[in-house]
Amino acid sequence: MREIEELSANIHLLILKSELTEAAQEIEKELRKLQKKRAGLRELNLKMQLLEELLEESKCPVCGKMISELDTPSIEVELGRLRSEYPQISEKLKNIEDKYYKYHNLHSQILQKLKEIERLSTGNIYELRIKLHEKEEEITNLQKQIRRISETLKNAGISLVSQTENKISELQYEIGKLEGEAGRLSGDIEKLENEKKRLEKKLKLYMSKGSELSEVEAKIEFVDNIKAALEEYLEYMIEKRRKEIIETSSEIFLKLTNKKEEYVGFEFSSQNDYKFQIVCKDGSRPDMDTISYGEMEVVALSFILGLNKYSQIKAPIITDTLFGRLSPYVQENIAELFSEMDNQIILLVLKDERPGGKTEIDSIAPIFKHKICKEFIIQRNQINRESSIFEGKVLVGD
Amino acid sequence: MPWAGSKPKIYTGSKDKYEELVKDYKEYFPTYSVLFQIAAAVGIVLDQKKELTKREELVNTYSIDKDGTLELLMRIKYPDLSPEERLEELEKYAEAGIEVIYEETVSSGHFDFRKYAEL
Repeated sequence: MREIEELSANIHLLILKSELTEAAQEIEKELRKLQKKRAGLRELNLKMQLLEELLEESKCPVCGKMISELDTPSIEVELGRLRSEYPQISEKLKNIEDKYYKYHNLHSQILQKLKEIERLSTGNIYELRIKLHEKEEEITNLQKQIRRISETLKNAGISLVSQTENKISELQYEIGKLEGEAGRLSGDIEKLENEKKRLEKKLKLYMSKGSELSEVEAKIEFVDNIKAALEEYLEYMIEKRRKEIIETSSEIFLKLTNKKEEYVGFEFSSQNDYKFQIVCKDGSRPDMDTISYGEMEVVALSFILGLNKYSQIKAPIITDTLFGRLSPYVQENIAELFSEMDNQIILLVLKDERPGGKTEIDSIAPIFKHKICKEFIIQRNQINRESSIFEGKVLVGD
Repeated sequence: MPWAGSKPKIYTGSKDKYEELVKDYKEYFPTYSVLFQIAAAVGIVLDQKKELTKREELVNTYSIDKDGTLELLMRIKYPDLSPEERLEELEKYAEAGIEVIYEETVSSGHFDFRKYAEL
């Protein structure tokens, strides 16, 4: 094709060859005319120049022969005639010369072009086009053959061509369907790929969350372990404290009781409750339901005081007519113990209402008198059936 | 440059014919420039010119006459016209030429330039 393109670029020159030749011929004619004209004008110009010189120098510029005065008028007449007949001959001659050279130049250019055109090889383009033509003819012949064969087959009743064509159509339809299916599947694959990517992202997220979960589980396990250890430690501490409390309470009990020779202390009756059990020196344990109320109160007070020792808060201690059932020895011991304590102690005691009547702690009051802060008297109005309380001085003062 | 200083573009009123011939008969007319040259040459040898009914841009002027033959011929034919005017005359020759070429090529399926070269 490129070869054809290159060769085709000169086709117009081949077409124009006759036109150029004709133009060249026309110009040649023109040149010949101009040449003739130019020669005539040159001759006339030369004649006029000779006549002018003859008149100026009075002798022939060619042979040097002198002219007579009789010849001069006739020469002047001739020169005048020529001047009037051919005015501006020099300019005309110059114009003719210019025109001649212009045409001559064009003629040369045309000849040059014609030479170039002569050199152009059109053989190749003919060959190429002949080949192309041959191929086209071959194609046409083949198409004719196909049509003929097809016709023959049809005529023979074997619609093989038709069948084949049908088969081709079916296959094309099938291919179309499959292509459609392939397109659809490609779409599905793409969707699935996207879904896979999305799930992978999600999985990654879950995995990271899973690791967080494991971390939390580990922390929970750690906390559980700590909790178990703390519980164990707490149990140990409770047990230890329980022992300490009971030991301290026992010590207090031994200080307070009047049976120092008989008892070694008391304990909790079992691991799970806080019922008290007095322990004798011989290891026996008296039935707690049969001991006196006074002893029971001493045991209870001992425990409260023992507990109080280990308490972070110094809770106030309130006793309600505690001393009435106790022996004077035990009363004194309690009074001494109370006088040594830092807790606020509120003692509810009975007083003989009769004039000059005493309270139940009058005998031990001197032991903790210096620690009594305030005294109150609760008086019952039996008519109105109401009680009133007021500050008084019973133990301190008098 | 043969047409230096002239108008830079070549115009035609038959662009559709150029398009069809270059598209369908590439073996004869590989480019618009080649087809314009041939059309102008055919118009000149048949001495037929046609006015452009519309002016559609076809090719650049420098591409249609690289060796200056068309310019030389137009200078000989129209010595008194300006280069621009000569180009317009050349377009008219090509406009007539393309019609002849189109008729022949489309009806026969071939274009044989030799019959114009032999005129």
